[in-house]
Amino acid sequence: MTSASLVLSGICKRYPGVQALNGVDFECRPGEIHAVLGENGSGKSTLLGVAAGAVSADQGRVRILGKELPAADPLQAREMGLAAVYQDDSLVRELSVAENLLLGTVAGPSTLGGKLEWAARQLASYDLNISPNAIVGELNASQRQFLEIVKALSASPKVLLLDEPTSSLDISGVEKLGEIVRRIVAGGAAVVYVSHRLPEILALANRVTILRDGEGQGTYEVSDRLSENDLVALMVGRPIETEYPARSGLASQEIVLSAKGLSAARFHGVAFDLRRGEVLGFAGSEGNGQREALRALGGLEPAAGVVICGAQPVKLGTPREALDAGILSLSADRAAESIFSGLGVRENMTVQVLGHFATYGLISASKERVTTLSLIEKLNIVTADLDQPIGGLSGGNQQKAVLARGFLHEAKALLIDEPTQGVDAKARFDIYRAIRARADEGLACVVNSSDAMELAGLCDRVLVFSRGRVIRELSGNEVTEESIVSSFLRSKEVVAGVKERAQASQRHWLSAASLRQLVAGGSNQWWVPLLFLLLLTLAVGSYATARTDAFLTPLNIRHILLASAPLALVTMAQFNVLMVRGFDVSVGAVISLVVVIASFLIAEDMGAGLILVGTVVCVAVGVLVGLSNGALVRYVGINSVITTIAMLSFVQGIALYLRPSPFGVISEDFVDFFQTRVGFIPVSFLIILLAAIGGDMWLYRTRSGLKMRAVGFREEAAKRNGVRVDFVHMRAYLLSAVIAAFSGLFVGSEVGVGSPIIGSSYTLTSIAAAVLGGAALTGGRGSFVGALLGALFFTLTVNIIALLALNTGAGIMTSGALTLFAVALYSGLRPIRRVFGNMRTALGRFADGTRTS
Amino acid sequence: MAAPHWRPPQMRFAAIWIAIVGLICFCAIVAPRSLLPSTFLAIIPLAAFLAIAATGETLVLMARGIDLSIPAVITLSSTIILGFSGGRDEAMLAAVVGALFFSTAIGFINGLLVAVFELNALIVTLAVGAITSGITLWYRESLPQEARVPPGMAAWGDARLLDLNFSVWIVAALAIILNLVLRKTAVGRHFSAVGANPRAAWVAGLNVAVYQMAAFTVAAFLYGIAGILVSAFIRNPTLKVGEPYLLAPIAAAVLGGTAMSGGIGSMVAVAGAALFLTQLGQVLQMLGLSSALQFVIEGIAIALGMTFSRINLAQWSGVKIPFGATGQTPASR
Repeated sequence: MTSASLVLSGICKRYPGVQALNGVDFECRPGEIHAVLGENGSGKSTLLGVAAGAVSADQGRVRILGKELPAADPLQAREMGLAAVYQDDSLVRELSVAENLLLGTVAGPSTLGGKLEWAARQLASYDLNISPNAIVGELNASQRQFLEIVKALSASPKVLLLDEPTSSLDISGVEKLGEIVRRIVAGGAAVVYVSHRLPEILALANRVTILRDGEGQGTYEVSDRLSENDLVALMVGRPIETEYPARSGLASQEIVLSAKGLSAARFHGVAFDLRRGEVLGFAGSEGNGQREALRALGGLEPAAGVVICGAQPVKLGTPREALDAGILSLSADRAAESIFSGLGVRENMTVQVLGHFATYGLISASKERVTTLSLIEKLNIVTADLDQPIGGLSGGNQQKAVLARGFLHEAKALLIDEPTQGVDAKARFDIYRAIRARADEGLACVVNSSDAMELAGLCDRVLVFSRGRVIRELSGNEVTEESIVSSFLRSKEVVAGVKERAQASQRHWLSAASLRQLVAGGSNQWWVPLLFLLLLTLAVGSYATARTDAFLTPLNIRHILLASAPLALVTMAQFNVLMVRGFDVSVGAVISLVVVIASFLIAEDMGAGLILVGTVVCVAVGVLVGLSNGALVRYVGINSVITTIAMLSFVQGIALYLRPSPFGVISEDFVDFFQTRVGFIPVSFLIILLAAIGGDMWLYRTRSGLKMRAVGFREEAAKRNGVRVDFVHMRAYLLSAVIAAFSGLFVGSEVGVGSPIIGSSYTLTSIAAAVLGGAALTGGRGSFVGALLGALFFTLTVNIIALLALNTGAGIMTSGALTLFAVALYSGLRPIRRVFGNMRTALGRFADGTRTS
Repeated sequence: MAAPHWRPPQMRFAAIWIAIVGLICFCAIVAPRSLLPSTFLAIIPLAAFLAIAATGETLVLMARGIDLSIPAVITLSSTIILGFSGGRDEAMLAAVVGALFFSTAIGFINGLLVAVFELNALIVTLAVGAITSGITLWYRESLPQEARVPPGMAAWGDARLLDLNFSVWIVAALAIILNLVLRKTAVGRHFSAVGANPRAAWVAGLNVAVYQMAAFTVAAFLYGIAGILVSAFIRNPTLKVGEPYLLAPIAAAVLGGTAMSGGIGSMVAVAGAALFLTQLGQVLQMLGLSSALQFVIEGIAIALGMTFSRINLAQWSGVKIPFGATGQTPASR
């Protein structure tokens, strides 16, 4: 027993409303493939999470290679020799294959110089035909799944956990995976393999442990005597804890909702006719397209095909169109897509039917109250008050309040995704009763559920999905838990057409859309925005040279370079925060405060020692501001805009308090120091240029820079790879404020006087220049050199406007217009195309309308 | 559910009135002079101007945006009053209509860029604000240096009803009407829903972009009114007339209990917060302290107000509510 690689004993885990695991024991030996089998919601994923340290168990112990895992900590579990492969959510899709491999391990080269060869070596040993240079987002699902596995294996783990590894693989992928897994166990590692697919498990595993409702149903040796039927019998048949409402059996023949050839990426050719008063179930193991099909019916996801509600064809793609046709859908993602957390129970129930209560446009509180109260009673919703924020209710009561919308709205068809997820047993019964009651009133209902017993109890008819297709239709007496589960578990169907789709995306890569992506920020090539900016600078510069002789003179160039220094610095400061999806609105105020402090502490006729002290104080101000910003954003959880606006007000106030108006002269020596030059190029500019290049080397050539980019692109994935996300954010805010303080010293050397609001104009410009230089507001993209070039371009524009003696207002307008241009360009043209697309369809419908009438 | 129909007042909106009582006690001790009716009547118009700007900002915050174009719009509105009227009473109406029209147009552009083109609200409003300032500056240079508002408007700016300046009554009426619209009409309730959870509002069939756009547009209309009222009050407004209205409206909105997570706000509480901030500035001045401290206090107030509301929120929801980027529509996937 002691020789087992992974031992879980007495694991209990409770989530609100459900006991996910109840005293489960499990062990996996070296050289063994041990499958874990169970229905949806039987606790498989939770068990895996506990083993990997990602979920903390309420009771029980985890031992990895004989040592106890002291606390739920995925990093520690990893250090102890365990690796877990979930579905592809720990990859950062914007980074390359090599970068993802490096992010996930402590192995490999410490600088990224040799990363390509290293990554190629990792990949080559598995014969995968994936280029280390490829961007992960451009790989297909099966390649990403293998990448996850290679990433886990690069740490040479002794225990490997695989969660549904074949859900996105085609037949050759499944074989390849089998090969890899066998090779790993041949090397003495232990593999825990969670899957829904019985044929696969019987072909691959040595032993299988079965879970049912969070309880172990025994561990069995896989042999010829163990049949699929035996396993299904062990998985189903949990005690019926709630009574299901009786089916009326009076379904009329009138067809309310029908679909033909409904297809999208995750499902194909779904067709059915639904009658008045009928409850239809969508079944399948997680991720087989049943959820997406339901969502497409309600307009929540795009799809092609014909859907008819009543006699009216339904335009697919928006919930609004579906509702107009009489289809009301309730999402499974309650927090994100159903409830208005901060609003009251009443407001959540009546949001779609407020017109019912209005007289002359004013909502009658009493009418609304009466209706709401009667539904609260009917559905047994427990709430202290009609106006209690719904976020404070239990999951079951939230769900019932959402279900009330199905009672109020005059829809013909009601689509419910996971009606009882996270709901306790008592509320579950209320929900079943309510759905059946609505069906008996003539509504047609479609229910998607991962709980086969629920579907068996509730539905008149069930469609079973596998790999995106309806593989079976069960009706009448066939609708039992056992028949549902066995139809989807025994399916041998695999993902088809992965190759075709890969080719389709290949074509797309060469299309006009990808060309736009290359030019406008969506590109992964860091140099593209730089090139674009250089061309823009050249164009504007040539225009100015043509218009005036004063432009291209050493004096003017020196002036531009000198003037661009503080802006370049503050743009680089801002870039740090933009990288992690934040904003720092306080940089301008920090500049002002530093200038004011310099006018006191770096004043005229002070010795070098005092000047040094003054400089240190200025930088210390930056440190304080940065740490406070970071702490408020990360640890209090206030958004970065509001936090830094508060900081802006605070810091600006102090600057104005110290110097209500410009006063105090900054030391000549200090000013001269900043104005030193080689030829006509200021030394300060050269130093900033070097700093920018150094910054980019760090960002793109070191592991620490890689982590920062990963946090910017996909914080959750970075966290799963063991990046200390809070630290990265804090460092970004700290660097931003400190660099802004340095920028303040430059500004001070330029104006030479303690001017209290000198910095305010830098805030917007810093964001705009960084964005022009390739920084994306969605994080992760851009470069320090880009920020510098962006700043240079802004300074150049301002200089030219001054030289050409255009109106002062024109300067301000130009900077605003440039900013809009930059964000519009780099945020992509997708919204613009969507807007015009909508206009086209609206016009088309208008034309149709005029033709028919 | 037969319990009597009584609801405890919502703490988030009640907090500001408690703070006002606290401030009055503080004033009574350190600067009783600041509580004299004459002092109060002198500052209340200022509070009214801030209140109306803060009301607009609150609408935008409720729709999960942020608006930093307020100073530019107020200055534009006031400059148009000077320019269109040319100081003549007969052109006053045209000037008022013009000021409101162009202010609203700026808000419409903000809304269009944020809600439909899905650009970031912070950057859009700063940039549109900069462009607006540029245009205003250019227009102002064509006007005489000493331009004044028409005498009729100036007289109106001084007029009082029951001892209170007219603008105070206008602002009070606007706050009450807006509160009524938000709570008692389908449009207002849908607006709250869109702010509280745009994705869920989209799923429920609401036209999210239209409501978000309306927030910016109506807000700018309110800034336009503020610009007119301020001009009437000070008679010869300069290009600096909008300056105090960049941060103070955000501070007032936060102190008035507006939820940054969207959807929740009370215009009456926000008006109270404007009064609080104005009185606080007055006391500081009377104590001989620099008016710059006003900024410091506003900064602290925003940070504390936010922290307080986060803690409050976490208490009843038990979950950490993530803040999305401001002004993003859910339909973007």
